[in-house]
Amino acid sequence: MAERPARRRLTPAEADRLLEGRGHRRDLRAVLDAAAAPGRDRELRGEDVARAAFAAAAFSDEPVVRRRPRLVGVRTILATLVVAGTASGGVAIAANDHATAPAPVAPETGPGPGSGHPAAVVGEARAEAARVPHRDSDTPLTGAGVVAQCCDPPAPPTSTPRTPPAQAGSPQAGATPVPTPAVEDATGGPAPDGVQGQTRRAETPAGPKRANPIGDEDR
Amino acid sequence: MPATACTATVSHPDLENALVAASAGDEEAFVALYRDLQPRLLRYATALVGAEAEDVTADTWLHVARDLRRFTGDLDGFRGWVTTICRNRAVDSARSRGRRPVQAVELSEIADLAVVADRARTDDAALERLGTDRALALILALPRTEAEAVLLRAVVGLDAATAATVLGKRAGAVRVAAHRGLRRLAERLDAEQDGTPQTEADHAEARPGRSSPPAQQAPVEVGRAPEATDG
Repeated sequence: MAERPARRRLTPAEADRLLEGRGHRRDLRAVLDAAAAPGRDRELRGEDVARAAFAAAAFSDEPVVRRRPRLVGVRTILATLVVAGTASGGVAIAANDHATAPAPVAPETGPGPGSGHPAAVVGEARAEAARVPHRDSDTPLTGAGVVAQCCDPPAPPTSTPRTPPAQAGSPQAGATPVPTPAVEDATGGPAPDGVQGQTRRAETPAGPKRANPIGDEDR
Repeated sequence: MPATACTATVSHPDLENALVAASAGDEEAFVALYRDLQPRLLRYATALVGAEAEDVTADTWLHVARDLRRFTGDLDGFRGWVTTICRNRAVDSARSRGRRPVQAVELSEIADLAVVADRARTDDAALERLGTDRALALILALPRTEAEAVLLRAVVGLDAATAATVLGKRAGAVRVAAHRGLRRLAERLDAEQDGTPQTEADHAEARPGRSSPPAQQAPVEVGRAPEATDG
């Protein structure tokens, strides 16, 4: 062991070269090259899924992709219930026991993104109905109106117009700052990872031009 | 310049162009990036979570697919970003597994198998035939900090600064860890070529955590490191 050839001594400079894909130690070079060899088929099995996800993301401004089906379901159920109630002249009008019946409301009065239970959504609608200006009070309550209300796209909790992500932080936006988690929240949708049960995430796509681009991604 | 040890099928400039195109929504460019990085990412994730690596990388790419259009940076930054997501997903996976030390045991077994298989076979001809799995097993037999540093630099292709950011350590610390790992790997190869294969005691020394309580080897312990931002 003590008579190991000097050529086998690994200097820091040689180690750096090896780590950078160069270096002259053939044995180490072979190990590192083999470890970093091009991908095999079994390592690329997820390509179709990743491609589909990328394609799907192009059609959605929503950072959250798993919330939409649930909201649609809630809206569908709610609309069905309310329409049925309207047709029978019963439940819906009784629930909105104001002289100023809630007309089809502005988008910002849509169901809040944080509400998932139908009862909660109805409660929000009733509370909102009390705040609707009287200019709408003469609008008749119709099933179509209620359906339109229920099926409107979910609006942000504030009246601030929603900013598509592509405008908020795309490279094409030039000097537009990379969206921070706070900006994402301000767009009205919940944090993307919240849907996946990882609400503590703040993974921000950013390059090395930022002071600590990847650090933002860490929790 | 990244440590592009991998003989990539796509050149670095092409990948830079692919990154720009993918950020603009080009699906084929995204696939090119995937094919370049996914194998490296999977090998790195395997070092962290073993058999769950495929799930971890799949989750990582879903995140990347969703947010790539908002990415700003060059190819090195992209690799660092994706690797960081992957690492965090691996940490989540380890946590959800309840800190069971399955991974550490698996890695040790793989490493032992690799050592046995490669013993006295590391002549030049054998090295030429060295397979990816076996090479990875040799690297994974290193102490975990060193193995992770070597993987990030030589396999994932990160430069020292980006690797340090991913790990939440200083670049100097990552550089030292990678150097130590390579030196230890070189010593092992030397010993085998000299016909004096390392003993199990040597291997235990190389992997001091192996005889330690399982909790010390759980990959989640690795994952907690980057939360301390390098700053």
